Amino acid sequence: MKKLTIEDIASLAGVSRSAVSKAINNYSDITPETREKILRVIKEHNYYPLESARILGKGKNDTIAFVSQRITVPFNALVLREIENSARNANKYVYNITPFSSYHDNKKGDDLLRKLLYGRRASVIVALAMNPPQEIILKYKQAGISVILVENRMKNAHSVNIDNYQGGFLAGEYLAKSGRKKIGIICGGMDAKTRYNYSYAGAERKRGFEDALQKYGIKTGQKYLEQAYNYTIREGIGIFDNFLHKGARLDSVFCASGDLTAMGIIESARKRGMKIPQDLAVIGYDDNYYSAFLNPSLTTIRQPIDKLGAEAFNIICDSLEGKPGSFKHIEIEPEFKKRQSA
Amino acid sequence: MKHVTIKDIAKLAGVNKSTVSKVINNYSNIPEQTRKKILKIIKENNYYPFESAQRLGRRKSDIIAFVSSRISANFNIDVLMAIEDKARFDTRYGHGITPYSTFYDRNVASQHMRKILYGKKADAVIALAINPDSEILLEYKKAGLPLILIENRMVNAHSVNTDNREGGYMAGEYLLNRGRKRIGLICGWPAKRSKYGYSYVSAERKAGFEQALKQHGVKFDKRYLELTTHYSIEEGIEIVEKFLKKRIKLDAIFCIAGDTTAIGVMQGAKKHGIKIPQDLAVIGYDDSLYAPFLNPSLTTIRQPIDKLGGTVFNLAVDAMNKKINGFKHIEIEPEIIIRESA
Repeated sequence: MKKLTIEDIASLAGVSRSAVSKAINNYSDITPETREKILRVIKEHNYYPLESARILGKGKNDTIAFVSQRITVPFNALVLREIENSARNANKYVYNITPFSSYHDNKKGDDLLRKLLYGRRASVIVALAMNPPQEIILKYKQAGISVILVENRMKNAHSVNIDNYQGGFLAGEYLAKSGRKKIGIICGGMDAKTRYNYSYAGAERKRGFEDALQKYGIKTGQKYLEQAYNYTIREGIGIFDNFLHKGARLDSVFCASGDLTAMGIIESARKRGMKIPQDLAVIGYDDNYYSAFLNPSLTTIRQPIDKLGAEAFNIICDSLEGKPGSFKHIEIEPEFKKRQSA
Repeated sequence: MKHVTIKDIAKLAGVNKSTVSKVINNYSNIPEQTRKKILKIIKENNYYPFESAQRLGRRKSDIIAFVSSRISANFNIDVLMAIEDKARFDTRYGHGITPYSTFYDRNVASQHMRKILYGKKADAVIALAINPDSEILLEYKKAGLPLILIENRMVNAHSVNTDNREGGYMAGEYLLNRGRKRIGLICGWPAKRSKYGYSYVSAERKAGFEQALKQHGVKFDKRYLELTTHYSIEEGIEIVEKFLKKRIKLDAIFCIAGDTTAIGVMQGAKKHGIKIPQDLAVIGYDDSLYAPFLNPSLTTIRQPIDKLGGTVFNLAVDAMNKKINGFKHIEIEPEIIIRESA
């Protein structure tokens, strides 16, 4: 197969070479019809710009880097999927969105972000539930590379969040109103002092939850709080035991750390002969695609990930197209899904 | 900040440029002390080789590409996670695995595979449940880029599969031994040349299932077969409706298409007051993490994904280090997990 060049595409589309280049680089000074025609020719003829040469020439890369703790965490994969879906539906030449994982290691995460910056590997960074130090964020700002934080919010970077405070508040209010008195919460990354174990989303959910409980005069505190670290079913099973060992006789639990934790709690409570929701009401977080079909079906806070992905993609496009603007901070409303478990 | 170059590192370490290069590229002819010293200086000075230049020079990427229908599909995530787990703790390979999604679109799959090949984006490619054109396989073979197929088997590529024929046989045997006779089958597209793309695993599982029928002297009724394209819960529900509309009375359904489809089948059956397993036994495929927590808990064929991931990773590394002659085809044994649904 002969390797196609940009000249071949230009002559096939009957336009100049620079018009093709403009279409690939998403410049706005060509008409939508021309752009569409060129993109069609590119697609039909399987044209792939030689990326390495492009980067050397322009001194930057068109890759969108998606950085998270682990791409194989279902929530993370879904966020990536929704960004990809938005990219697919946009009439633009979009490069592959490349995922990178820090494997729950902040040092590794920092190193990764530096590698992407100094290795000129990406022109936009989407960082999901990452806590980079302000110093790195500033370096990105100086380099003119946008950073979009998801499940976090910092100065000098964009952010897109599903309103975590609101999600926590909804769960707390529901349990309080339904007459529950001893309400536990399981939450990820509570310690703001050590960046290694801090989750903005977790902290916000907890804040919203505790505000709701206080409003209804219900006790909060260490006895009713457990931390999650890896957000698995197995961990949920263990956490149930932790509550028992502390002597916290709960009548309900809000699993701010996700539906998987809730599945572990339900499993463990049942093994001890407790009835859900009579003896223990359980609320999850996320609304995984199977959560409505569990036994019992899971009451949970749904995160509209499709909206999150679309908002993140809008900022990506603005950044790639060099549209100036101040840093955006977007909050999306979560949704309370009432089912059997609470 | 000034960009640190390889020259700066060489100067700081008091060695020449080629020694630094050898350390970065993990060549073995460097004394351990020198290597350690250079790595320390690289780290202290935040030096990151300019990746694109490196790629152009070496024609190597240090990346394994993972191509699947969509990375957020449960089974796909599990397989990727198993490969990652292996990669993280393997000293022969310290770099990333980059996922690509095809969104069930054959053209997108071809585009990705050529992009990876001609853009030199990876040193090995793992393709999960993808049917590349045989031309692409030849292009890969010619370029010497290792390709490992999972859930498929073709000439001119390596393959790793759980023994799908055996899995189909186990499910058939189990249902027949319990007196079920009218067994519905929900599966991906088992015929080649079908518009929606051919599913190798469905064909194999179906063949194994039919073999069990034959041994029990039961004839396979074509009306009992329904095909899936999206492997979703909704599709499972729709298929139950279809069977009912056609007035086909089944006493069991084997969801070759996977546990997600089985959720839909159980949901659809419940809507019509059909009792599981009394009126209808349901067997899934995969043993997804939620399978034990469904209502009723799901009997299913487990694919040993950890073993699969490890095998795939080892094969990829061996192939890129040119330690394999010809093409290898590996099969791993599945297991039947008996729970409430059948």
